Amino acid sequence: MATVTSKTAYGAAPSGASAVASAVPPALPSYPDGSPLTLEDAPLVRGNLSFHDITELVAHHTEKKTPTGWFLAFGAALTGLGILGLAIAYLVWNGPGVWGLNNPVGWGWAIVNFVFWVGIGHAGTLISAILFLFRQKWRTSINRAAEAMTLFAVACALLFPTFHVGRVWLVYWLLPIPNQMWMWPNFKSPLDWDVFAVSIYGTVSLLFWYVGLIPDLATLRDRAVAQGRMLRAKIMAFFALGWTGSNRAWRHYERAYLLLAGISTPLVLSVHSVVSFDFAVSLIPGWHTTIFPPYFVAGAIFSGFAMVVTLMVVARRVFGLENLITIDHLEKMNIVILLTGTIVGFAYITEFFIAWYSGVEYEQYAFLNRMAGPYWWAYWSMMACNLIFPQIFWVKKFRRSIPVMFAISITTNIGMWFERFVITVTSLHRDFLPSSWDYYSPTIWDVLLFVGSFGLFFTLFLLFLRFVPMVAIAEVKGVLPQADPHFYHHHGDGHAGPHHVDFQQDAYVQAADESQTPADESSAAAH
Amino acid sequence: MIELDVLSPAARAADAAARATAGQPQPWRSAADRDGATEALRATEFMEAPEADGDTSRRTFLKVMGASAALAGLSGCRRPVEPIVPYVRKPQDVIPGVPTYFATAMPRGDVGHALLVQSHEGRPTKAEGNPEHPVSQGATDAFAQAAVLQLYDPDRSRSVWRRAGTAEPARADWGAFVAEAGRLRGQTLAVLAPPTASATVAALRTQLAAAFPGLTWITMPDGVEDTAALGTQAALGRPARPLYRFSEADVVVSFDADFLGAEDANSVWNNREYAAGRRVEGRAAGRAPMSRTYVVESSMTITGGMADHRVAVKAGTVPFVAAAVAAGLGVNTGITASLPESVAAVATAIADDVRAAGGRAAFVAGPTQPPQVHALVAALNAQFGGAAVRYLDTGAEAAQPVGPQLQQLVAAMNGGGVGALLCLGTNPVYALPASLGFEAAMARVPVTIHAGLYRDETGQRATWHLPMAHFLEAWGDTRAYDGTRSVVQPLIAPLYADARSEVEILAALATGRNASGADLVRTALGAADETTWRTLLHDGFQAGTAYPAVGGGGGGASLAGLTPPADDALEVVFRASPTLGAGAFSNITWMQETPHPVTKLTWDPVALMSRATAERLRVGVEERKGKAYASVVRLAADGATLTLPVWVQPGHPDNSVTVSLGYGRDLATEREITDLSLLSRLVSRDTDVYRPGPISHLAGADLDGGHTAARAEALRPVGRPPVLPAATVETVGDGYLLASTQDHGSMEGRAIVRHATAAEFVANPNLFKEREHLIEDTPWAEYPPLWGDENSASADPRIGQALYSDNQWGMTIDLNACTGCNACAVACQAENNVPVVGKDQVSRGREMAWMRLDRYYVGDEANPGMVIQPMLCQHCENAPCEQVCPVNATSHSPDGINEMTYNRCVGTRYCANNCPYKVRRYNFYNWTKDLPGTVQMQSNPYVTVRFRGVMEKCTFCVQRIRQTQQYAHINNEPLADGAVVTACQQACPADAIVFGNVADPASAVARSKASPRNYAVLGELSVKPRVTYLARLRNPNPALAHLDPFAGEADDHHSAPHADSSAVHA
Repeated sequence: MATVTSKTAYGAAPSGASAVASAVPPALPSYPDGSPLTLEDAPLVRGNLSFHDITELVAHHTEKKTPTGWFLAFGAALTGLGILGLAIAYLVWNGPGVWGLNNPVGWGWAIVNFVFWVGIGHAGTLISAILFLFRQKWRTSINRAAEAMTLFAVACALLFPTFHVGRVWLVYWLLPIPNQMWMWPNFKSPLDWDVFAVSIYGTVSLLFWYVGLIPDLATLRDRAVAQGRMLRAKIMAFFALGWTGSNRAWRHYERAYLLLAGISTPLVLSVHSVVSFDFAVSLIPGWHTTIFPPYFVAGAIFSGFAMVVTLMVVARRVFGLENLITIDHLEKMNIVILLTGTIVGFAYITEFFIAWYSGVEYEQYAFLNRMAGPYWWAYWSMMACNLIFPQIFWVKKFRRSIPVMFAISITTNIGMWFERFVITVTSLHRDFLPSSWDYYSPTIWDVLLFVGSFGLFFTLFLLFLRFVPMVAIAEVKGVLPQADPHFYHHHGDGHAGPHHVDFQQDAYVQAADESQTPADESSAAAH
Repeated sequence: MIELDVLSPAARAADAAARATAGQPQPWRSAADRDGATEALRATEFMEAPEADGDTSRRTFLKVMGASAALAGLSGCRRPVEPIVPYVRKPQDVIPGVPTYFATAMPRGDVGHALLVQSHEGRPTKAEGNPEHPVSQGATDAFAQAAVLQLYDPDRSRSVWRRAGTAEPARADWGAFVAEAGRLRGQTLAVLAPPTASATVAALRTQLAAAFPGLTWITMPDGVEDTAALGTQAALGRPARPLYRFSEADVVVSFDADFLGAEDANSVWNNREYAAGRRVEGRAAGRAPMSRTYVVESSMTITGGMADHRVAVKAGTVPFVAAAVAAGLGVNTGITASLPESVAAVATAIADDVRAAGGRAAFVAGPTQPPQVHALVAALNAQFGGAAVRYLDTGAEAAQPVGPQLQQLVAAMNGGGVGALLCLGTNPVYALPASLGFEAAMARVPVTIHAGLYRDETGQRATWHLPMAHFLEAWGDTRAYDGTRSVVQPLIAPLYADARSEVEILAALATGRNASGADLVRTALGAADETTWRTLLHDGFQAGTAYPAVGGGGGGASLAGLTPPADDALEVVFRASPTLGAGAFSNITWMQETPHPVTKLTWDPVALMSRATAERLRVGVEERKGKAYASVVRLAADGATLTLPVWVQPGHPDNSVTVSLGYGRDLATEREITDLSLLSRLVSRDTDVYRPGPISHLAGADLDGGHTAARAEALRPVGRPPVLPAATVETVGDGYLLASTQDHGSMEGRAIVRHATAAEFVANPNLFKEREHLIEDTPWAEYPPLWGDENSASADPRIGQALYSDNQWGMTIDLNACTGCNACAVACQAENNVPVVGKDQVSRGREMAWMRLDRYYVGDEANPGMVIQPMLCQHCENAPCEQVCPVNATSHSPDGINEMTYNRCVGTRYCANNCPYKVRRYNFYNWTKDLPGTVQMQSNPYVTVRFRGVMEKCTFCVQRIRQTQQYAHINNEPLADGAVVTACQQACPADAIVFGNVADPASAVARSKASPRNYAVLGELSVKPRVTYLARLRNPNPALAHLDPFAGEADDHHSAPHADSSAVHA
């Protein structure tokens, strides 16, 4: 599958090592003294790619003839979207009674799914903004797709609070729209804070994503002109906002990007904090907890990174981007997953301690009920998936194993869904007065709406993969060795055609990693 | 808007000409007018139409099309305009929008319940007790509340039906029946009539006897044989009616009598009297602080729940416990039985207590007990209950067992000895045991006439069915339990033209002519004088007409002949349903959805049994995902069978099964029942409880054999005794879904219903305060609320000036008085248009009741204590729901009501989640969309009917508050304490609910809140509820402390919670 080569740049490739950016990691040099490798030492981009290679590697996927596989995947996603439409139509026509809600449990899957999707929507902007501010250059390979994922996840998330209300045609009353009655939303209500937090987050994320796209869209525009595809060029030109690539444009661009990163950073932390207020501001045992904001943010990053891993593991293979999204990138994300998963697990245990320590019998009951009550299975699924399974990433071998990380990313997503289920449902179904205790189970319409939201997500994500550069071309180029201002002091002017990059002399020392085969080692030595 | 035509000059001229011809003078307004000078002015005053008709200009076209398009669009988003037509001739005393009240009475058998019924523009909407009536005193039971909906029951019979020969019945009319009645004269007529206290009926019966020589008149009580009449007759020589003044009793002993439950005809009086006897405050010096109640019973009832000591034994064993008590009191009954040690201990304790009470005892026997026990109780009361019990002489004819009379009648019917049979409001085909063979015998009678509210089992088989008028549309008379005579006066003409009252039907038969009910009643009551008659109608009752007391008694204490039941035989006890009666209320949605006061089950009949018995029979109730799935058993005896799902009832005696009468109905309805189209079924959730057919058919509808398999009436032996000593059981099914409104029966050690013994309370009145559930040593004052006083609504200066801020509404509920009789819950439903959602939705936990009665068990399952707690919106001052509503749909009123603005609600359900009392109710569907038209007529016009997707809950009956305030405001007088009465408070017979202005320290509610028993449920949450509770007190006998289920259940409860509760589930 991953067979895009850099032949356009090189013509006939002189040697195997520099010619192929394939699934097999290229032979790479190692430290001459054989000293152990560190994560920082690993190159951010592999395969000895040139600027042009990168452009080619990414842009190619938006320009080639649409593969059959994409149509198949898109068909499946559209089916999901259809299910979403059906589930919403049935819901709106009949009322929230089609769901499994009842008197003590007023929020079921809809709110669970809302928090789940908002959580997933965290990784993108975190990667783009916070890691940008912290100069984490490894973010460049994944930030575009992660941000797209964020936007689509937020879109999915917004569906649920919108349609979970009983009179959806009046849902705009949650917005502070001036009106002749002088009726304003209740600014004390965390649900209203949600409206602001999520919509601002969605808007800023969209802007941030779009601003980052501008240079790449211009690249696509220029390539379309070269290819003679004028309609495509016109469309791209429209969205590229007249980008010229001039020094001035770059200066403005980078300033804007920095500002947006600055604006986005607090939002990343605030959105899920505000979402957690939906629960924390209430007085229901199991909800009324001050630990919720940090714990929700950690959980959101946890689930967001897991979703990025899930998607990237597949996408890098399908689109042959292993050199751009390297195993090192994935490993870094796995470390974040390990860290945040442990934070989340710590929070679970802290909640228990506090419930016991508070001496409040309702709190104590709520947590014992989570563990041993009718929803014990949800609780233990959550514990296993979120706290226990990610611990496997302490072992480097597993951190760098694609099947293991794929499995863990999936269980993390499942676990984080269960976390929201446990919080929402187990707290509500048995609260203060035992006379009201009841049990909640979803109906087919709860399930279909959730399934349908995945349909929406994948529809959007597949469109993204098809039409938009899925890796930030310009940014990745910025972290190449060639982008180092001093690179050409040692390597000519950069216009001499295929050139040999001697990594041993460069700041970005590239070395074989532990997972490489002996054959790789030998070829690296030969090199 | 009123628009007057402008007279054209031509019309004016014609007018003037006509006047001139008629010789009338020409009217004029001014000289100019008279002289015609204004004509010119008039001609130019109104702009002429720009163009003539039929000549459409572009401008007109655009105008018309623009307007049409705009209107076409608008019509899509507005409800259709329905013109309201005002009265052309306004009836006297009717002001549109202002309800009027009429005094009437609801006859139930031979006991009438005095009512004051609200009428909105001629539409009865709500029944209240008659506040001046000595028995009612303004309170009602649940049935009286539900009676209004029965008037509007869409399944009521609407026309006369006649069956000629073997043909299918066809519609006929009243005239045809009157003609038939004339032809029937002289036939051998048999009448099956319900018990009645009506003087009009008595008079007509005499006339009927004259017209029909050899008349057989059998009084057939609803439900079971009236053993009380037989027993009291044996003891006192006359069938008598005991009237209990429980307030005067220090010891109350019940032998299987649920005297507080709705099955007792005098439950309203009993509840009030009993609550008074339990009131510790203000007791006369020298008396025990409160009465002590012993209940020996064969099923768990609310009376058993109020008991200080409750003994669960089989109904057949109860007489032997009574005998043991009597023996302890020195009364020889001639029988003894070896009782279990704990039961014998209670019997001894009862005897000791009764002796000590010094004439302040009251013995009550229940309808499940044989006449001998009633006789014994009469004897015991005569000896020990002088202060508390009186036996009234109802003047009824000598009581005879009905069973043998019915057997004779059936024999006569089979032998052709009955020419005509009249079932006057009775339904023998349904109510009589299958083994009697009544249905087959009925087919042999040439003319069978059935009159009833419904075309029921008998009505469908009779040659004539006559629709009977509901008591709210009929004239009649009745007498209250104590004998006070009431007139039944109609509030509305019969909804169906052919409907006639009981007395009109009897008169037609007796005379062959139509007679007016009003005349019949007035004549029979001898109220010829107009003033007397009008006073009677106004007051609704005739004071001083109570029954006289019967003297004597003391004989008839022998229980000889009774044998103890075999231990291993499965006894079946038949009881009238606490929600459906003996079937009279089976078709009323409110009553079907009102939870059984103990089991909290709705919609379905069940066979109640103990866990041990269920385990022995290998049946039970399985709880899966919050829903209860029961085994289904078939009880059989003498060839008759009864199929019922099982319910395991804590505190039920072993080897005994309690079944409810009133289920398994088969009604024919004239309502058009349309099936949904295929498309509708695909896209719409059908939540219309009325759609499938008659409401009563929904109860037990999923049983194998259909809902009629649940007809407990069929199983009884011929004589209709209330207890079947032995029945066989087989399990016929499993997984029958039962809809209970309460899944969890234990308080989990939480201080929700607080209780103590009277002795503890008297010794230390502050014990409830001391046990207050607060975290120790917490300086609460240092933790201001998140939304401090500077933002609070009550601190807003604008609020202080608001019209309503003088009153701060609050409520107390005395848990020591509340018995859980359901009257408040049904009253709330009637007042506030609370929708009915059906069994499926109740099983999903979506019942809509604003007022619910939480029932908790205490102690072990075999011998539990039971407490009831009415739970409604607590109107928190610091309401958690208000803070989280994103659109301000729930807010606080200046007078402290937690308000719900339905129009503003978008339905996020956040408020319900955040309500610690879980009293908010959500309209998951549009429950009211398809309500039949007649049912809609019941709605209270002052209360919004809620749409789907909005939240609702108790409003403190804000419509009543505002109305009372407005009247006080108009009359410029202060709002008196007690002027505003909520619906639940008004219905409550025990006066457990006190409502009023808490800001006024002199108000009843403020004084009630000052009680040391006052506490707030979940007060530790700092939500400051305006509804508080007065803790429950018990008065256990110290000698029986080891049998007290509450002992060891101290409610200061810092016991460890346990997740998967092993406590009582039911």
